Amino acid sequence: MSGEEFNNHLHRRSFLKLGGLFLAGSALNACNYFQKPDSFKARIVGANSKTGHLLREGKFPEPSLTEELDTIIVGGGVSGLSAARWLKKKGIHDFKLLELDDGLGGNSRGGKNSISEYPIAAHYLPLPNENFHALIDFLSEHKVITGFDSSGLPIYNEDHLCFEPQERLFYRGIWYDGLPPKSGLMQEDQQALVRFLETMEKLKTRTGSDGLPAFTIPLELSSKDEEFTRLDTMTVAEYLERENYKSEFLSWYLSYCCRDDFGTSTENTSAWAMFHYFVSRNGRAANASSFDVLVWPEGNYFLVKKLSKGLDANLHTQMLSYKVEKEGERWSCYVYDIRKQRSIKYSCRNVILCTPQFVNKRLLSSFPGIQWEGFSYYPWVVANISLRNKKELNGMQDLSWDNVIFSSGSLGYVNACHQSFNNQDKTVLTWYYNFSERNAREEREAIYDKDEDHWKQFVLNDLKIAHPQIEELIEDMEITVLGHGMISPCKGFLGDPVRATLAKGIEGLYFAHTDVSGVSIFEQAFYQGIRAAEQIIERKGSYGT
Amino acid sequence: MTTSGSNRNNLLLLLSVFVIATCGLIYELIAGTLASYLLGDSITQFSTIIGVYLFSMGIGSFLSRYVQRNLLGWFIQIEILVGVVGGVSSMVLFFAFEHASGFQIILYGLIALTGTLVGLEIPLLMRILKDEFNFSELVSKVFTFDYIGALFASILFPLFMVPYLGLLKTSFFFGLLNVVVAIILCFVFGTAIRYLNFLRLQATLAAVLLLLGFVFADQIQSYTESISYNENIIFSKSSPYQRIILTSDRGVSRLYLNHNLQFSSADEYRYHEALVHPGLSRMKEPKNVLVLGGGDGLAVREVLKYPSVDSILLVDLDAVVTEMFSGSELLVQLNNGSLTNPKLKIINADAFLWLRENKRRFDFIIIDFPDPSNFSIGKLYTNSFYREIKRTLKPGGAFVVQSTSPFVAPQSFWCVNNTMLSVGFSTQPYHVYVPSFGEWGYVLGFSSLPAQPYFTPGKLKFYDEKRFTEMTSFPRDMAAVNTEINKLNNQILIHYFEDEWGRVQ
Repeated sequence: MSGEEFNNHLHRRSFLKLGGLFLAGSALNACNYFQKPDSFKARIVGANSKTGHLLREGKFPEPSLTEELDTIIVGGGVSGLSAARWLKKKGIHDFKLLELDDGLGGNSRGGKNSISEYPIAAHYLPLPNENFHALIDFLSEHKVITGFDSSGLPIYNEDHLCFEPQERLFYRGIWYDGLPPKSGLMQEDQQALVRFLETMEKLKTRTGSDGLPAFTIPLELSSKDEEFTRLDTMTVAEYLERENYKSEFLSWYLSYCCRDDFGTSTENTSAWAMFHYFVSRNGRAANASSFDVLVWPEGNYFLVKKLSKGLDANLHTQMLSYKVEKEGERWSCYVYDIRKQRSIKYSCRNVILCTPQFVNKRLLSSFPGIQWEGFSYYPWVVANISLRNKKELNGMQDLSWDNVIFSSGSLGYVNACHQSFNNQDKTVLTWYYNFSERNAREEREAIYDKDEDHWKQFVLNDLKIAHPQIEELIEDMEITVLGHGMISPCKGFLGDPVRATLAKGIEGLYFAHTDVSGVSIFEQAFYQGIRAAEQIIERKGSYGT
Repeated sequence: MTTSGSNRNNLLLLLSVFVIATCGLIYELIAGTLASYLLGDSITQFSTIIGVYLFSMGIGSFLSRYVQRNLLGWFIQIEILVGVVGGVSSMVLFFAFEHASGFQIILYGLIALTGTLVGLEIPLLMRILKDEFNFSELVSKVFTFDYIGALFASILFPLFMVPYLGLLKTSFFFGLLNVVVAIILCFVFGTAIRYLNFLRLQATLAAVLLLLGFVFADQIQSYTESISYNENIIFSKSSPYQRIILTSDRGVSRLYLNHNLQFSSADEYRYHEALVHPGLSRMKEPKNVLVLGGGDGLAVREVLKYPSVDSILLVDLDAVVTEMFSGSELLVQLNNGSLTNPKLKIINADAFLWLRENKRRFDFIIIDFPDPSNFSIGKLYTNSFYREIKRTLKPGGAFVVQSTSPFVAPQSFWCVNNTMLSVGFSTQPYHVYVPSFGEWGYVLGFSSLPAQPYFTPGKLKFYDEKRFTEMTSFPRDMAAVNTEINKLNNQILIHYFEDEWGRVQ
């Protein structure tokens, strides 16, 4: 975004200020005239920690059944589903996908209540790059892309392109349109931001000495030129220091981006990963700009549902895989069926592990030679907040899709009803918090035993910075505690050879989780699922069907 | 009673005549003012109210003969009643207007009650004082104070009370004055009164009530939001979707939705004739017409002038608006009862959602949404919306969109036009001068449109074919400009709109 663009939007500022005044006014009114309703009760939901502990303790009954089949996919997140979809597409039907949880989606899970569907984790997809044909085909299959114009640019279904207003920032007591805000910054901050964004913009057209683009999606296809890869040897904070960026706002903004997209702080994040985030996305469209994103009420769970289409017979939930080991030419996958409370041994030619490496470490305990230490996952808390009246929250001003509060520890909230044409007052806000001030283990221990009331206050304290009255407007709060969130691409991780080892796979055992690439994005999971499926197809060529 | 004490008490009683006269006339003026604001036609309102008031005073005087004992006690009792009834009268009338059909009953009921009570007071007082003065002196004194009070009220009311206090505070203030007089009389005449404690309690409660009303008059007033309006608000209500305010000033009613003027009864015919007839008159035998927005029924009123039209569907988000315009006498006069016409069906739904689900097709669609001043309304001016319209039109059908002022907001106006073009319609933009709005714009969308009308209703107040030629020509200061296309993911129109109207306001 250019400086000029900032100025063009100055007029919005006064409008937003007015909104702030109105908000203050209505807040006063609310104080005076409305009796305070009983406060709501928060609930903790989410991944079944009891079954998680079963895995950790490792006490499972002996398998009462052995089943032979070609391929087992462990993990029903995006990469697993993408692998399953691809196998099916290529005419391979002899496989099962096993998911521990009772729902599919992994880091793209979604929920639903009487007001709306809502995301529990990932909640948007940037427009895919033009050369990412597999993804463009997938989106076309499901009418997210409705056609192509005469120059071949995809035409997106405008119901799925994020409506205006897309983003806003609560900064020094006022909501500003845009993130980064289109106005309202101090001159130094604005200059630094423009300088930073221009640096990123210029890299979009750069290629390395190997002829590959500097940063692209899938990440593996990015240039290996040392000019770019050496960015992995420093953190974002170190990069900013080296480039002499002094702007407090820019530091905050990048810290927000790192926590939001990589689940950790600028002191941990590899500078290469941050560059990748800003440079790699250049999707073009007939009816949208590359800044546009695709959003759905249920977030990326929308895509999960589309990926699972036609796979019902192959997908099995509440199946806890607890051991994967090699037996002769075949792989044995030991699985505890939570519903039937019995164990099954699947004997198969191929296994695709779509589980994160901290899970794989346990599954493959008898499998030496892989260094798991580089993989770090910081904890998250997500709150899905049912609001009685979004208008009272905000006075005259409309909620944006993404609403971020400056200087708050949280990552703000997204509005599930943003793409709705319904004028209902109720909505669901999905609020995110990433714990990454200390190391991941300490953070996990610190949040492990906190109860509903703790989280309720924690979430409210954060939201009250921008919405002092919010408590009265909340009907329900559903808390999801994620001990391990997305993979964090910390400094040096992308250069770690373990990733290449995992990406290659080992004689029928393949790894497709996004942590193999180091960045947790839908595109990457989608790509890695296909890659693992292709690895199997290639291998099948050697042993026949 | 000593002579000097008696003189003082007599003076007090005469002063209370003055207060009663002042207050009585003030209540009458408040009722008259409110009635003219609310119902228009101030001559009729004032005449009938003065008539009813004076006649009721006669009833009061007549009834006074039945009061035989404890004259002073009755006098104080009536004083308190006048204070309470008169004091709350303007508040009651404001709120009563929401149920407009019963409004006149309440209005004249209040006038009659106040008149009767005031009418009781003067004869009672004369009887109380009859032993203190000889008859000619008594009559002279009482009526002197009475008429001075009337003069005082009639000068005070327009010059000071209405401009500085407003109607609500004025009525609470004078109600309080009545009650204070009652309290003073209670104390001064103490022992001479029966049921003294009962009266004191009543008077205190009434004083507290009226004082609260006076203190919180602003809050009560702000509930009706008349602060933002120069005209008087006769109806205000928050529906789940918007703030609806109807004002009236010298017989002209205006409707505001979220503080934006929707129409003025003085010139709405220009707006609505221009909205409906240029397009609809060019349809051959139109049968089905869809009206989106326009819950006021004024566009429907124009559509009903086409005998070929046998069904009209009105889709408006807000049931409060459509009910108000189906039921309120004043508003039904404006729309000729169009909303209760058997040819019409009303659906209260969001237009976008409804349109997506809808399978019916129409010969003509009238889109009369509020201006695109926020994101929710902005969605209804997007290319996605016009694509739905395309699906909903019969072959050869057309639609018209009210599209803000091409003079004040040329980018906004042409953005609507260009957005309609972008989904494959041909368009005919046009404009008309509506005094309360200024130069106003519309865009017709169609795949083909005959140059000549098939049928134009007779007896229109403004529109005819000559006007069409005029309306479709755009002078240089409103000429077409290039704009972006309004889409859900840019909502560029509300940016244009905010920018252009922001400069004006």
